[in-house]
Amino acid sequence: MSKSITTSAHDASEAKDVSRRRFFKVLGGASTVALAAPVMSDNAHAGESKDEARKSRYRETDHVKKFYSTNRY
Amino acid sequence: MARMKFLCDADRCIECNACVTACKSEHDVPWGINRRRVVTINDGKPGERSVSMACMHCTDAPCQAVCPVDCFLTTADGVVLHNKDLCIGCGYCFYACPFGAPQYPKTGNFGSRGKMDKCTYCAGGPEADNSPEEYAKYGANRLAQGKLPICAEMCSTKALLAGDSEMIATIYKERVLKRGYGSGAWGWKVAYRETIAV
Amino acid sequence: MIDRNSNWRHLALALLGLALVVITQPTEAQTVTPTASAAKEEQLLSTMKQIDGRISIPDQKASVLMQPAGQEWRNVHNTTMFWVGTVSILGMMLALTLFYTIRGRIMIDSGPSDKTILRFNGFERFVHWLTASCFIVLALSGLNVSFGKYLLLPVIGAEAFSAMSQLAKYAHNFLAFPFIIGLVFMFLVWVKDNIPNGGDLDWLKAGGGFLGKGHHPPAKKFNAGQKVIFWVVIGGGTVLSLTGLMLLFPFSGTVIADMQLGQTIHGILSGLIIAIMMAHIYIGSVGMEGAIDAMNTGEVDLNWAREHHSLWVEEVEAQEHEAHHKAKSVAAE
Ligand code: HEM
Ligand code: SF4
Ligand code: SF4
Repeated sequence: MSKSITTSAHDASEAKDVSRRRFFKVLGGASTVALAAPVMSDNAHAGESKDEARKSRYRETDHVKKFYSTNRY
Repeated sequence: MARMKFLCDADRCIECNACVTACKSEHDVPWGINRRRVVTINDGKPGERSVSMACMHCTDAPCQAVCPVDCFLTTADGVVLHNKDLCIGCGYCFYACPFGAPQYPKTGNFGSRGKMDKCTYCAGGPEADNSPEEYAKYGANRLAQGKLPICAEMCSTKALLAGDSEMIATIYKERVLKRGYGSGAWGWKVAYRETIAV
Repeated sequence: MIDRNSNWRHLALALLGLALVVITQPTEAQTVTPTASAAKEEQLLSTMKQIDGRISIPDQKASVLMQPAGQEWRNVHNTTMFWVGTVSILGMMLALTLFYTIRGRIMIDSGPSDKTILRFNGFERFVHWLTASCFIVLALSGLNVSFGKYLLLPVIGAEAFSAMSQLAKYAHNFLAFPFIIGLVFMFLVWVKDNIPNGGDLDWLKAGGGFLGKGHHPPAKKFNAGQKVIFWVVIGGGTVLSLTGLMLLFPFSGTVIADMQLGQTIHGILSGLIIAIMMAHIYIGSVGMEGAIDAMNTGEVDLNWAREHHSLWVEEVEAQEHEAHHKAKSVAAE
């Protein structure tokens, strides 16, 4: 910007042109990133597969048995 | 196969809200969200009863049926979980849920909802069991640790039962027979289409 | 010292009180069964649609213990709404395809002329396209909520579908506002030409001139069919906006039952309106020669205008004539 102040009008408008182009480039880049981000982050994390996620988690451990027995009082 | 359920023995619940507190602390549940709550019916009148309520982990879950991105999954032991990476916060599961279980952090514009949060039966979510990712999104996975939901485990009057459906139904029946009364297994008919006949 | 004294006194009083309670207790216990009037789920649900209570956390809406109506809403959403949407949209597609194959494109009977006449000014066209473009995005993003998981999800996968649905949701939520603004302007700009009158009945009796060739019942700026579209958009759009706002601002003076009803109306009505708008889009584009110009440049072919809106052309010409005369007399003075 400071450069365009000291240069001629022609230069200034050119500089503006470029900065506008850069603005759109950044905007375009940002939106592609924004679009890609959720997809990419999904691939990145160590999630469980559908079958894994549906597996049974419960086990009748001693801890659990104790819970049942204390509830019988 | 064991089928996980909750059963609140309303004749024992004294509305101490310890289950609510334990749940919040166990899972670091954010402000404004309550995965479990205690509702008192007929407050101050004869016949007053308090019921501790969270997600009932329904059979043929209504939330699962209406979710537009199909992000719910029911585990082999009957726990209804959901995938926060997929949820778009539309609020439909709250309309469908008979128990008001789904909660939404208030983020974004208007009254718009963030990603839904609800009771996981202390069974985490679709992330590697007990990983930091799982904890951050869904909270602790006690079931995978061989334990039961914290709310039931620490209930002072042993009003809130959790665990295998047959087992907790048997315990409840024993109690009712012994003391001679029982106001019923709240929510069972709506959630599981069955009641406990004593 | 004083403190301890009063403490002892309190303790004594407390013990006395306890003794009284203990003395009176047994007699009471014999007459009162603990569950005599206990709140029973079944009883409560048989008299009320939901069970409410008192809650001690700040979130007061959580005081609804149970609302089995959620399951009814689920059924309406997954069956009634699903089928109303499916049948009306596919039905309309079928009807339009049939109409096109049988009747073909409705041409200007007397052929295009070399003259045009201004039908819609810039502002009218702007308002039309503002509302129309919002409507299309609202319709597509809305239909994605209703049907996306059956049609798109299996094709593009869960992650991509979710990312897309999130964007669609934002589009639906934000474009609601320009849509509402468009509706208001549309009403203001066109309501005077859309008041039903006697001519509309004749137009309808003549089948609007759609069925046979070469016969066109007279019509003013808008014929009865267009008036129907106008009022469907204004009426339906208003209801969609109000119910949509109810969903957008949950629990703003509403309870869960209101939101469920609002959602049901929103979903079912949008299916019907989308179908009706498909007919409108058809007739405004491929279905009729010369129609699209009205919303494109605003200038329509004079012959087209004479055939479809004869009375309106007469009106405009009379006005022009008058204006011409006035200008002449002003110039002569
Ligand atoms: C003008 C104001 C409107 C507002 C505030 C609004 C708001 C909403 C909201 C909040 C939802 C819930 C899902 C979501 O969060 O995305 C929704 C769903 C929906 N909207 Fe709208 N909407 C409006 C207009 C429209 C219009 C004009 C249409 C149709 C042309 C439409 C069609 C739909 C459909 C089909 C659904 C999904 C219904 C379902 O499957 O459950 N909406 N709308
Ligand atoms: S209680 Fe509500 S959130 Fe839980 S499974 Fe049933 S419908 Fe879903
Ligand atoms: S809020 Fe999330 S989990 Fe609930 S129905 Fe909508 S997308 Fe599914």
